[in-house]
Amino acid sequence: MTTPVKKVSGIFSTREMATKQTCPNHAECMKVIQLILDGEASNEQLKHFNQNLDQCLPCMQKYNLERAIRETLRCKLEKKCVPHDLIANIKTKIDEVV
Amino acid sequence: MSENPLQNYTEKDKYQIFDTEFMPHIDSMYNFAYRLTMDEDEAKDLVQDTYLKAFRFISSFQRGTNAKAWLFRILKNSFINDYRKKSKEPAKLDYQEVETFYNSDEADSDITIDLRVETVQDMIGDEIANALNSLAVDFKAVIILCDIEGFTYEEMAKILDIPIGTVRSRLHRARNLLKEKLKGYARSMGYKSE
Repeated sequence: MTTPVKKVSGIFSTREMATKQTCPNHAECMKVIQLILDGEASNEQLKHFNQNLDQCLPCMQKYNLERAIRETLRCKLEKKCVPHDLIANIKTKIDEVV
Repeated sequence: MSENPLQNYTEKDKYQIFDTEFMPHIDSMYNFAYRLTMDEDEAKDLVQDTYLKAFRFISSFQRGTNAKAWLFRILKNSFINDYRKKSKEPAKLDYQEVETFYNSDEADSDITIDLRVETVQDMIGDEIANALNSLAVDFKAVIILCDIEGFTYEEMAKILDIPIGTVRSRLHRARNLLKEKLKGYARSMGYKSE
C-alpha cells in the first residue's frame, strides 16, 4: 500500500502524460479520487487508480485540483491562537466544581 | 456520551487524563469552535463548556483511546445544543435545506468546475476562509474535520453521529459547493479560469 500512496502524492503534469481527453466514468472516478486523497481507498482502488491515472486527462486534472484545494485549506487558513486566559479559566472552573 | 463502560478513576487519575490527554487538543478545539461560531468569544465559551463537560463525564472516557475525537464530539453536540437555544441566527443552520439538498439529483450530479490548480494555489488565506465560511455549517464541519483536522471517515461518523456513507456523501457535496464558491471568488478577483 505504501508504494501506491507515494506515487499518487505528487502533482501530475497533465500535458506530458495523459492520453485520454474524456473520461466515460468520471463521476465514479471522482469518488475514488476523494477516497484516495482522504486516505480511505482500498488497495484495489489505489492499484487501479495508479495504473490508469496517467492515461486520463480529466481525472488527472481533477486529482491535481482536489489535492491543491486540500493543501491550500491546510496551509493558508488562519490558525487562531488560543486566548491566553482560556486554559486558566477552564482549570479554575474545574477546581470550583470538584 | 460514549459506548465505553464507566471507568473508576481516582481524582488524581482524572486530573492526569485531563492534562495529558485532553489539554493537548485545545488548539484544534478552539479553531474548530471558531470556525463553527465565527466569533472569538463564543468559541472561547464553547471550548470552555466542552472541557468542563469532558471533565464531568471523564469516567465515560477510556484512557488511551481517541481523546481528540471524543472531545470533538462533545464540542459538536454543545454547539448544536447552544445554537438551537439561540435565535439570533436561525438561518445559519437549516437542516431541512441541507437534507433536501442531499436528496436532490443536483447533489449527485458531477459538477464540472472550471477552476485551475494555479488559481487555487494563488489564493490568499482570506479568500479560502471566506469560501469555507460561506458554506452551511454541516458542510463546513465535514471539510474542517477531514481536511484540516485529518479525522478518518469512521472518526467523523462518531463525532457527527451519522453513518459513514453519509460522511462520504456529505464530504463530496461539501467539496463541490466549496469549489463553486472558490470559482466565484476567482472570477470576482479577476483570476483566470479555463
